[in-house]
Amino acid sequence: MPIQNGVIEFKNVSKYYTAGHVRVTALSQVNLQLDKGDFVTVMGPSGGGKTTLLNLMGGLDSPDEGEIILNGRAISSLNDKELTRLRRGEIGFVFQFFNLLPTLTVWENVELPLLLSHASRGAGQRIKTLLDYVGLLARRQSFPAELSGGEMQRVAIARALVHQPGIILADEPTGNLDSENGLRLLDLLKKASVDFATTVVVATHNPEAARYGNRHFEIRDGIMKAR
Amino acid sequence: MDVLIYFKDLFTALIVRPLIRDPFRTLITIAGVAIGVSVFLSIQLANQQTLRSFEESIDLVLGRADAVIQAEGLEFDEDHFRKLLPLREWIKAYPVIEGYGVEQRTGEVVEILGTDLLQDSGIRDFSLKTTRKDLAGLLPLILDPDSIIIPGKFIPGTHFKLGEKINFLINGHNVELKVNAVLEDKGIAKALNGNFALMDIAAAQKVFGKIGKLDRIDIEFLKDTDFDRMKEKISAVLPAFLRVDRPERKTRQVEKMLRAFQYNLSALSFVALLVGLYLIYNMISLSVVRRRTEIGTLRALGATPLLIALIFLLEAGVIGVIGSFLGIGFGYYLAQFSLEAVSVTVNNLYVPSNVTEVKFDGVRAVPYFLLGVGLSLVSAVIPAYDAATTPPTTVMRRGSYDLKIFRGNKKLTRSALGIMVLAGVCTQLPAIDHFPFFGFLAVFLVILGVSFLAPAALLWTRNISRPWCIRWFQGEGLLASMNLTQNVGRNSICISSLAIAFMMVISMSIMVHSFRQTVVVWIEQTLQADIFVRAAAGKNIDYNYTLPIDKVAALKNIDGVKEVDLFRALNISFNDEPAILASGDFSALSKYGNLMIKDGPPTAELAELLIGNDRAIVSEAFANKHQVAVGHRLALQSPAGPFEVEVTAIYYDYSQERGYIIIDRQTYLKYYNDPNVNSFVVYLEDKNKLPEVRQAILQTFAASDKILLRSNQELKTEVLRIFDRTFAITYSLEIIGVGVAVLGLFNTLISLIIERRREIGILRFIGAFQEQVKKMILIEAGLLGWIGSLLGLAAGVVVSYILIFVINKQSFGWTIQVFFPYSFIIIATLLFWIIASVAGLYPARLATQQNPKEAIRVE
Repeated sequence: MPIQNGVIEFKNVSKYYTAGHVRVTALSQVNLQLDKGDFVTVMGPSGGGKTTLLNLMGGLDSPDEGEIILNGRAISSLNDKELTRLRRGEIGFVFQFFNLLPTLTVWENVELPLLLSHASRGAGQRIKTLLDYVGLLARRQSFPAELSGGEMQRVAIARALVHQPGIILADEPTGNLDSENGLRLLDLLKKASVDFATTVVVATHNPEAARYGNRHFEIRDGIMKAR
Repeated sequence: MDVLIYFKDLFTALIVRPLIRDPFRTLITIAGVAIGVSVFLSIQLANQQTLRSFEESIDLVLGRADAVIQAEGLEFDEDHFRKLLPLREWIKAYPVIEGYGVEQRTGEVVEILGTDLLQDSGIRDFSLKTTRKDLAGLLPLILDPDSIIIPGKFIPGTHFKLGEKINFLINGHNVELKVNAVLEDKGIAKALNGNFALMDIAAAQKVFGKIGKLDRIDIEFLKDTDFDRMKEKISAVLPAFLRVDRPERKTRQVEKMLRAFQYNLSALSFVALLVGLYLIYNMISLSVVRRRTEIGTLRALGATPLLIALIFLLEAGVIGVIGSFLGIGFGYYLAQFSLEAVSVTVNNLYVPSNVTEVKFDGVRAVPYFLLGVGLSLVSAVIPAYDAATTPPTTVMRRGSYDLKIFRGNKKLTRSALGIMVLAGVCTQLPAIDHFPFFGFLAVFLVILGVSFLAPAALLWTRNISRPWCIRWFQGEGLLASMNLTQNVGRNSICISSLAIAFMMVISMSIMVHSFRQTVVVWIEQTLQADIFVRAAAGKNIDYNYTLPIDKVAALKNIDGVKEVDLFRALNISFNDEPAILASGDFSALSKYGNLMIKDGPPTAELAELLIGNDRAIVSEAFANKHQVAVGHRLALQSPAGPFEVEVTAIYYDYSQERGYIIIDRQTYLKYYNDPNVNSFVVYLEDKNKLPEVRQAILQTFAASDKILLRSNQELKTEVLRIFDRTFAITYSLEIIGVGVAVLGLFNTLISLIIERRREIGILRFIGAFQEQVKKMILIEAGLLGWIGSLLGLAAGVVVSYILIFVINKQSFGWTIQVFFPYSFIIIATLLFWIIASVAGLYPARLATQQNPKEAIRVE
């Protein structure tokens, strides 16, 4: 389903965790609207709430207060199956530690979301194009163990794009890469957001990332501010 | 003291807490070890108890005898007793009659010992409580020919009192004996678990139809206690057929008789222990993987590799200690059942056994406890070594374990093939002292080979199954198939233990089925007579019971009877190994019967060759055990002096592993002058006359002797019934082995899920439904089960050939034709595979319950 403008909307969203007997505020009264094609960077110190924000956007967590609307639907009303379907169709993830499946080849890692959706038939060309796009077509039969960190993260981006999601959520995607590879990766994400009209949300420590986004936020102690 | 405190703290923090943190898997592993130890212990206890019971009873019955004189399996003239008189300053001799009676009310077999009661307390330990005091009480014991003395604790469940009468079936006759004294509960009264009684020798000679005969003379040395010197002195005054033996020889003979049966049972029970130990390896390996960061931290803080290895060894030790402790308790309980099962076989095929209770104490438990703990430690050596030798930088690096890929290990596969070739070589080597040492080694090597082949099998299956899995199950299929080689070490252990357990099921089922079918063919061809009759007694295997020849001979005159073949057997020893010397009527056998001849002329020609000649045929078991071939001469001892027989033929027989030497009845009468028979078979003119002839035979013996009569069909059914009961225990052991292996699969899958938490998290992130994760785990369980089943099936067929052609042949000496139980194999394979797949259900559920964001969070 194509995503309209105003793809993600947070209305007074708060999230709390309990650590022992102490209640910790992860996010406090966040209001946010992201549009199609936005490249958003979220910065802030560790434990500030960046990952919580991404988990809430990805439907992996539900808010304690407020409402999250994704593509016009309030995700807190969705059950696990509907949330999974949502992730499967509309969201792509990129992680700090790449999280490729070690037993699968580069090609299979990219193909996996389609296989899980039983939608891999006729998708060969799309996978080929994507691997070419991230510059790894020649390495399609390699296993993750045979790739460098930068290459692994590029495979992860191809995997995130393969089912043509409206949103890509990237949690510290450059955190495990050297600065040169980090910048190349951000270039790639930026290009993808333009080429595929995808909304990209990058949570990062990397100040360089700010150069890529059209919208920038900072989270500190659960409070989110636009920069 | 400080060291102890530090050790306690470290032990609690590094070993106890991790075990408690994972209670489910700790419990499964402990259960696996406990089951393994208990099964092994229960079989050992049952075997030992059976032997110990024989030994104790023989010791009590023989008392303080220093030597025993007997004519193996045969009574002898009491005149020979008098020949010992010149030696009276050297020895004291005690004449003995030994017989059996069936107590009519309970059907229990009682050993009745006839001795010279006035003298006998000098050699045997007993004291009596008589009806009256002093001589008035003792006299009836000697003067009353129907007098019997029973232990205070006679057959369990009976309460005979002084003066009461007991009805026995002795030698096919009803005999009423009167309890004139009771043995006090000590010494000989404890023999044979109460299935024992004493009589005066004269009364016993009368009751057992052995007037003027003796079964044994027990000897006490008076001056010189050197056995060999005294044996020489005694032998010098006696004929050669009377043996002078050490008292313990009888126990040794029983041991030799049961040896092959007990070894085989022990080997089978050891498999359950072996499979149980795979669980420990599995648990410790997982522990190493899960605690890699902790290992790295400890190394960084200054822990030596030895301390790291010790942590994991002690973890295995704790499991081993608890598992073995529980296993010993449970094994003792299980031993009661094993004992019953072992007794069934021993009673049916070897010697009458009265053992009913397993005796066990703490001291006897120690070796099994140490074995369980020791093997637990051994099974943890590899993962502990791995943990200790991996550099801290590697163990702490994130993902270094996760990213390993397996492309096969040619060295391992080549070693597996080498091991299999070595197993093949072992099958060609002979037994050592009748024990198929190399046969068992070959089975062990096959097990080792299967374990070494497991990684290659995983790789092959992954490559072959991948396109099919993708076609049928899409992403879940691809993942399940590729996961086979993700953690090759653990997956290999898992499928090896499944394969070994299944290998035992398949090999035993092929062996037992082949054996059964061979016996079916054998009885079909060999049991040609129409009616089979023997003296009714407690056990099939006892040749002490005879039927009077005059009555048996008269049966030939019954209308409808074509021929009667008379059978008499004696338990003898040949080359100091137990054997059976038997006689039959070869004219009847050659005309109407049939034997399956392995080597030599056909049955029809045997009469001509054997009748009137000192010739014999021997069973295959005898020929193999004693390396005898056609044309060899066998030296035998008889009351008429030593004689030799020439082996004319070797025939197939599956009834006695001791082996038969069979001579013609006329030859037997010539040397043994013993006309009575143990059993006979009747050939009918017209098979339709079976009911009438049966009735006529029963009437002939009705007044005097109790007989057991079976038609051809009834006997065949009985033979197969005994066969099936004999193998019942092996089925139980197989099922337990499979149970432990499935527990191993269950454990492995849970381990893999815990290890792959992050991977499962990723799948959920990228859009896998819970059902898809569940499906993936179930497909994986199915694939692992499938590899285990197929490997086990292939190895099972190989091992069945080793069991049939090496172990059975060398242990029991008989040739078994191979018959495959096809339907059983197919059903068992499918069932085993289904059970293995079902073992994935809980782990699959566990996988779906994981929170993906927790799983994926940076450790």
